[in-house]
Amino acid sequence: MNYQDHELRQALAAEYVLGTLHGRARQRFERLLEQDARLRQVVSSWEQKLGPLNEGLKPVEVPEEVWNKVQKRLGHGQDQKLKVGLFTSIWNSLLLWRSLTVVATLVLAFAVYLNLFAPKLVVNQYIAVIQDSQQQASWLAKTDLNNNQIVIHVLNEQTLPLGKAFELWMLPDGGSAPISMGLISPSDNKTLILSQAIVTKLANAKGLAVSLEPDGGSPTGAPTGPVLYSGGLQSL
Amino acid sequence: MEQDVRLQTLLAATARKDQQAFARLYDLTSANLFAAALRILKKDAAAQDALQDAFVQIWHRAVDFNSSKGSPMAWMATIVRYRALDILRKQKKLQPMDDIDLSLVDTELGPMGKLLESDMARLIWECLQELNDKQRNTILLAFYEGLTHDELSERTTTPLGTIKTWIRRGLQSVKGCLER
Repeated sequence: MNYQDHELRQALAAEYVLGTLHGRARQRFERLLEQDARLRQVVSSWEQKLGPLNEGLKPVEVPEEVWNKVQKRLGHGQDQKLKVGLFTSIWNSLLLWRSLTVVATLVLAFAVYLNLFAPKLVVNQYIAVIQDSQQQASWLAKTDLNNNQIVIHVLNEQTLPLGKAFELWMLPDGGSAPISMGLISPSDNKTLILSQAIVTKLANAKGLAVSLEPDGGSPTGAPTGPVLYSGGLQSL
Repeated sequence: MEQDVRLQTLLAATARKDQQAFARLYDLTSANLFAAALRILKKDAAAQDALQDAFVQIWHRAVDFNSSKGSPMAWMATIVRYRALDILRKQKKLQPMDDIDLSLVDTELGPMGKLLESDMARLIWECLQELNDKQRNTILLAFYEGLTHDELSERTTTPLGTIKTWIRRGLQSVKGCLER
């Protein structure tokens, strides 16, 4: 086989990653991979393409002993032994460990469940890149609706005239008046608390905008200065 | 996205030999990776071995990971899959084919699965929808069940040559779609 042929290299790499390249052909291909950095790149690009297919699998609880074996093989977790002292007998009690293991497994399963699913199961999050009139990105706004917050990351520092403030607004759907979300900094990241009114309107909002206001923010509750920045909301 | 960032941070700490980060990484990913190994190996004990070997490798190879190589989850899943495929091939040498349970691949993701998907995962599923059913199923059977060309041919009562063509063209078109 001519391993320099482009088409063949692509095809072999793809089937290696898919798993259909097997037996001697797989071993031969693995030996080739060790010497051929460019082929490794082709494989790596296929791994990136097909790898995400695994994300859809429903998680299965892993028996405790797998982790113990991993730790043992790597020589980890030795420090636990140091804790054996006055409470040796309790520490060594099988019952204690059994019950702790059960509790830990439950807590762990719950924690994994929360971490993996809860945020996306419960709410969508939104992001907006807030740009100036030249399409220069100035801030990145990202909601944390689990905590009714929006985090504003500074992408490019802006200059703020003395005695002025940048105020962030949500532009609700249907052309109703902008709702103030709070003041943001030209140079520092900031977390703003969102009112329930804003949270409920976020899903249909047209976007976010930043206006130039007197120090302390708009005195009227509506933008009084020019709108200098804006950005559309995208749900995640 | 957030999950990716968290896993990247943990992998980077693992590369610096931080045992706590490694433990946390295991907590967050092992149930998912175990599912991938089980899918291929069908047997609990073998899947546990694959997972164990894979995490030992992840500990040693964490330095090799960088985010330009895609999502950390996909990277780890690849390590688990290769280990599972190795074990599967060894098993098959020892036991006749029909001992292996070849339950039909569920190409519809469960509701949990849908929620877990990253942008990349959504994209590849969209691209797979562009294939015809037979092509798509053949590729998914190969990926999730670790079937060889011969087994796929037997399993779907399709000539070997056709299977090979479906896979080759199917993968090409997925690649084209993903790179569009």
